Amino acid sequence: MESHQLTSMISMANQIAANLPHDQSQDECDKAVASHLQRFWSRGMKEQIRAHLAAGGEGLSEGAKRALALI
Amino acid sequence: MSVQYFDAKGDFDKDFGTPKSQSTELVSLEIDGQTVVVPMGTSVLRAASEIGIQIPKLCASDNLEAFGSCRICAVEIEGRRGTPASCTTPVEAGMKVTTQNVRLGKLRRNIMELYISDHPLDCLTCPANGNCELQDMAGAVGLREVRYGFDGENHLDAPTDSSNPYFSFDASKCIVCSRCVRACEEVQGTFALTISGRGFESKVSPGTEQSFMDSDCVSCGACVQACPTSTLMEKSVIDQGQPEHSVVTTCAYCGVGCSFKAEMKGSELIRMVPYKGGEANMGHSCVKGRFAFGYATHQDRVTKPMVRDSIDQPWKEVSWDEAFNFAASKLKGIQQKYGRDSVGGITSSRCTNEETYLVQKLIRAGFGNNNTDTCARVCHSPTGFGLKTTMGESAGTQTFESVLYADAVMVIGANPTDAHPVFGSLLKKRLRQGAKLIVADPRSTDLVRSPHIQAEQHLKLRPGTNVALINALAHVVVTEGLEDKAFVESRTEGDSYMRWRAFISDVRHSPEATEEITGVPAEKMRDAARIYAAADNAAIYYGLGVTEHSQGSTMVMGIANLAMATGNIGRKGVGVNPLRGQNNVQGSCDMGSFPHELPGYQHVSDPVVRARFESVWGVQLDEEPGLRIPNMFNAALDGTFKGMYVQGEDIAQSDPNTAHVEAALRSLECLVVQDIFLNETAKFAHVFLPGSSFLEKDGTFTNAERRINRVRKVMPPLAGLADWEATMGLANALGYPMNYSHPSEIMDEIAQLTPTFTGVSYDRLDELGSIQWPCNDAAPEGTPTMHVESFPIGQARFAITEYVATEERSNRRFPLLLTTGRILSQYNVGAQTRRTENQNWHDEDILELHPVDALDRGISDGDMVAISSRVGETVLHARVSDRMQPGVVYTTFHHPNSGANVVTTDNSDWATNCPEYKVTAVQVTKVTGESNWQQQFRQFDEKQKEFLADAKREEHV
Ligand code: SF4
Ligand code: SF4
Ligand code: SF4
Ligand code: FES
Repeated sequence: MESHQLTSMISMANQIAANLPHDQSQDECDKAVASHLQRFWSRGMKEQIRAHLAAGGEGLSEGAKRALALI
Repeated sequence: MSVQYFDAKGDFDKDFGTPKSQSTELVSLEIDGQTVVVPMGTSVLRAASEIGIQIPKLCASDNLEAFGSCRICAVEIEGRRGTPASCTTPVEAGMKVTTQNVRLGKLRRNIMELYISDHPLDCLTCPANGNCELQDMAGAVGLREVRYGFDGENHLDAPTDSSNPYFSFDASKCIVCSRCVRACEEVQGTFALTISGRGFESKVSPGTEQSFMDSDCVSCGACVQACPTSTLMEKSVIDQGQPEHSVVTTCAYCGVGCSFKAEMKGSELIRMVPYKGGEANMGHSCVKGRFAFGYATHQDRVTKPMVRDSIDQPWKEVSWDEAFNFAASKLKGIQQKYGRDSVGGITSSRCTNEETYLVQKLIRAGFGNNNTDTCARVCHSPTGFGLKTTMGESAGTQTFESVLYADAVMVIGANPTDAHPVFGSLLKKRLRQGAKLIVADPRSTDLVRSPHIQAEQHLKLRPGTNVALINALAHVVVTEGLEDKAFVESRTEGDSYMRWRAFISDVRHSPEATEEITGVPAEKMRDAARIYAAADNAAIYYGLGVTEHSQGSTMVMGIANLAMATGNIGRKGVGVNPLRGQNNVQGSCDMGSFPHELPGYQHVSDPVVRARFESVWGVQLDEEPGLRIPNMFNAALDGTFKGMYVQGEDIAQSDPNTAHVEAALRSLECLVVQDIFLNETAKFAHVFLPGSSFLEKDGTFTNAERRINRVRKVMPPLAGLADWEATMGLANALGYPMNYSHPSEIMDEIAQLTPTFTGVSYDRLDELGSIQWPCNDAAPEGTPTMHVESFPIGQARFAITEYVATEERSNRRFPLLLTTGRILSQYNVGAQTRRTENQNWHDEDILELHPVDALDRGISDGDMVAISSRVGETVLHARVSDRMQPGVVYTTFHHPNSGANVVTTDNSDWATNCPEYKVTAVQVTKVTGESNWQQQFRQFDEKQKEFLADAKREEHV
């Protein structure tokens, strides 16, 4: 079954990765995205998107994938 | 005799005759043998009043500049000829004034005689009887006879204008003192009234001999307030008589938070009179707070708790306890079956701080998760995020009054004359005094051009391009060397500044490079940036046109960057000022409504913070953030979220993508709604807890200036319990004990746990009138201006604000951009204002579009048009208007069947999920009937109303 939460999380994660500053190193940028997700997303949401990443992370941008690997 | 100095602050019922002088230089004079010391610029009338000598007056009032037309305030001044009017005579050092003697007494009686000979002497049946300044003055001057007789030429047959639903204008009683005209100009700034004719022929009229309803009048009531006679009079007083006692309380409509005297007869509210002692409004008001309170006693109020097992069933009225137990057992059952995180709740920005605090406490402590959110999610969540990231505190920096010290004002995505009218009047006053105005808005709002006001620059940008615009302004400031270097060096963090400077100086942010994106000519952007940067004091005011975008948070940070770079922070007349929508948006955010923050913006992951709350609340708290409103809806659709407690919010109407929201609500197993009406959300509910209006409870609201104002109970709750009591009942039924006997005890707990509130208590509020947080040991009387010496995070941080275009773009199928807004007479989802006479001004939502777009589609004024987006379609009437720019259409969302949110999408701000209400790609076509959604809405609405009627019928069986 299609998960509404997952669909929206994928676009949110991509959006966050697109919006956080890019004038820093990729490492720092990924950390900033990861920390944002850590601070604002619920436990269940983090678990669900990590599982999605583990299953290939379809739809996630490269930046979002790298950040999610850190949380 | 001793020298006396009197400060009028504190005596708010008295009329001192002329405004308080702001001068700090003092002048000493003698009035009737007493020495008095007052600030330079004070009138003789006011100086006398300060020491308790009330010189008779008619045309003067202390909220208006003196005019000097009635002459009844005449005095004698040693060494001067004649009898000067004391209201227009400023004090001078060494002056010797006589306010009463035989000559003056005679003079005043003569003047009174003239007035009275042209005044209907029906005092006994006059609605102002007992509260009429003309009557008082006749008494004060000792008028005993009217020698001119009453049969001369007069105005006794002049007609009454009753067109305004709230007040009438009985011209036969008018003494042509022009107080109303001046109030409309000086206080309200609308210039709707004029005095036409001269001498005996002169008379007051709205516009050019129009009726009030047909004129520019916005029904603020300032003229009614100013009128010394019964000429301009509230209809409620005409119908019900003069009130006998009053209670000071706070308006429950918008984020200005005006103080009112609720004037009562027993427990019946006769009228609301703006309170001079209210520091947010200083005696002014708008049509909503002043007049639109009838909803509180409207017949649609539901006053009995109700329950049902499914939303396809009629409601059943039950006792409070049955309702609590019903809800508690359902919610507990859900948690057992689907897990602890399967329930959550929404706090209200319309309820009090204390009530909001209790709801989030019930969720965190009673439900055991952090699934709490508030409707601020959909309006100002980016403000909290953006300001906290840059300046360290999630709130605006100034008082409203600060605008009177601004030399340049930039208004971005806000429409204060409609949405924050009392602040709008103050702003206009400053603009008439010469401050420069820059407006950034896709529409031509009233502010852009109105009587005696003309914006220096109107940056008519394309919806969705705010960040490109603010970056261009900052680029100009930095590359043209307009920064405040000293401020930047001492008050901001060096590294963040250097990074930002490098970023913003890049030529891709220049006005020339971005004019393609924003649609604003580069020269206009340059000029606006220079005006802002060059002003001694420049202030930014912004509204939902900033926050409700996919880059809402970025834009808030961009605004903060600009203010910091130009040193416009930390004193009067400057600052970054969010104009909050609902009355208690600030408060609901402060009170820990967000899923990641405990009260006072303390993150749930901080173990020290959690420990403090755990020790007072007696439970263990979850360390992970909970779900936001849109997350809750998605989880509901996924089947993992099943129960919800919603206090005083109408998410079914106010949240975007209605079809999605409705599907989510339908999938819940237990929805508990607490509201004063059976609102749209309640139609999907299983438990209805009747709410109490702001008149029925004690508490506090926090306005957009961080000002905590008292709400005072003036009548008992119609349903028996105030909202905070109902929340306690639900908590207790859930097995989490709550026992407060008065909201003041809740505030004491808030103060104990929230570092910015430690000095707040009801006693202190009574003492000080109101308090602007932070209020603690460092600032025992509160903090009117923030960041004066340092920021809560020490030095402020510049943020990198890259423009990322929204995904919501116009294309071939949806070539227009829809943006939404509000109007003066209606409020938000309209549940309150639609149940008042305010309907007379706006009884449906209209789609505005530019003549070019209308022509393309063969649409003329009044046609029915379908507005369709990729998520839905709705039908409204059209208005062709050149306030719009081509390609942009606009509507309000005050009426549920308009379904404006049927078309808005679930795009949202990247950082906070605040929905992108301000940009939706749509197509507009001419049609002949309502949309599918509207038909279904009507059917569902009728069905649910029957279910409510069934509950009431039961009661009578
Ligand atoms: S109600 Fe307000 S806007 Fe209308 S005439 Fe009076 S002062 Fe002016
Ligand atoms: S309507 Fe009232 S305030 Fe206005 S001129 Fe007449 S008496 Fe004065
Ligand atoms: S709606 Fe706003 S401006 Fe109007 S009276 Fe109420 S608080 Fe004041
Ligand atoms: S009160 Fe001074 S002239 Fe009217």
